Amino acid sequence: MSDLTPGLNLAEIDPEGALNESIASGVSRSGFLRGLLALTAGAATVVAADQAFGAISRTGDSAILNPLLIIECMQAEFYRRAADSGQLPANYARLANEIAAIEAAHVAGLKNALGGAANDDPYLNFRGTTENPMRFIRTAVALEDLSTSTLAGVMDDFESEDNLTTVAAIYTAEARHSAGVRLAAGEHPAPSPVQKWESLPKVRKLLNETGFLTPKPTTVARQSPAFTG
Amino acid sequence: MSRLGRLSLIAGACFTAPLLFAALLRTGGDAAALETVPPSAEPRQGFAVPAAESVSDFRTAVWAPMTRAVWSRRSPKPDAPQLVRVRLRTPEDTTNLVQILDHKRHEASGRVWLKVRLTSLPNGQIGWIPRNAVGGQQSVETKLLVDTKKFSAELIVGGRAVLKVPVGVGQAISPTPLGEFYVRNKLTRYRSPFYGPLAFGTSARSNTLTDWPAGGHIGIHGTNRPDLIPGRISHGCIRLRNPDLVRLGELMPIGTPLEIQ
Repeated sequence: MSDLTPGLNLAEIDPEGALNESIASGVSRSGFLRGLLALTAGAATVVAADQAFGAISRTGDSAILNPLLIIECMQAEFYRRAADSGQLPANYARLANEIAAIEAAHVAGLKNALGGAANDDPYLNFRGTTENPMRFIRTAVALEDLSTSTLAGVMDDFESEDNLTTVAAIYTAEARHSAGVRLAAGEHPAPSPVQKWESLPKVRKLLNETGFLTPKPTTVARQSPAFTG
Repeated sequence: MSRLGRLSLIAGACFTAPLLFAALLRTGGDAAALETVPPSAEPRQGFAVPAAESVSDFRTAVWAPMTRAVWSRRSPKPDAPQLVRVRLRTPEDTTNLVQILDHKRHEASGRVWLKVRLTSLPNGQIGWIPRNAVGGQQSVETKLLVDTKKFSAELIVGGRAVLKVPVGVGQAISPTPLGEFYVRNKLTRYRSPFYGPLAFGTSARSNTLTDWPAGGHIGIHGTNRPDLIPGRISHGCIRLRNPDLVRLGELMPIGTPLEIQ
């Protein structure tokens, strides 16, 4: 097992041993996702991902592009907050900042494509994974795997071949991110000869279980003000 | 071109480009090695993906909702002196938000603490709360500047002024407090012509109306007397003409920092 952060006691951040187990078991995507889920499952909030997915248009390419938008938003925010946290070593912070910019461009592109059919940005709580070097890099690997396997799973569903072309171009960028974060994590950059894929219902379930998607706080109310006037 | 053909083209380009590059190196840069590649049209794109830009250019503030009530402390450690209780809900019964100014890890416990702007009097207090007392952090790219001398409010979005409107501010006996604050909720669909069509709640509090119901918080709201704007007309709140307020409501997200000068 690679020692990513000398001096860091893995047991302190992973009391259940799930992350340790996933690292020891190799680089399987499902193992990483299980590790990710075990870290966050206590606070899993099913309703949030259902809200995020539930409002999507069910017809045409927007039914595919909206879930992709949620995943790209999640990645963009994850890297952005990691870069902002001030808690990561310089090499991780730099990696996070560079990938955040590209994920943000993907978000902008998907919003361009969806126009008024775009879902609202999801509300995200990364539960400390952006503030700890070990948890950050393991979560980055898991999110990149989730992203590439989701993209691989929707390739055959597009009505517009032009949309397919652009999403395939995004896919190659995500594959490079996946390799990059794996290398940073001390893992093999491309452990499998082919990319596994996941169906959108499975992706929805996985997103629910991460607990990263959380209900939006109530910041708007139908109430008469009691301000000083 | 068929779907399979397009995907083959993309996959082919990904895999053959390094091989061609390697071949080019082996032949000592002989461009003739590339002549066997048939020319092809650039594939049509379904939508535009913009260039990647720095993500930190225009952020003005970070905020997070409280997920449990905690005592704020003078420094980022659990045994530091207490300041004030940071509550879960606002007086308007919305989720209480905190504006985050800094992070710091408490080495002994390994826990992260957040430096936050407090909403208690006197205005301008800063304290520390544990990170696990808040939910996901959100960032905004907006800022509202209120000038109590020029009676104006200016909204900055992405580094650019997008709205500048006249305002009414506090009278001499109940002045609008000066300093750095933030917008923490939005109230709509109430029936009060005095407050106009909507109202933003802020973290600012009146320095003079301290026994006002619900804590004397300063709002940004509309009016049923637009003829009085601009001027020193309020009990401390920032009043806008209703059409200006509706426009502000469309442009200004919750969490926006508010600077009153």
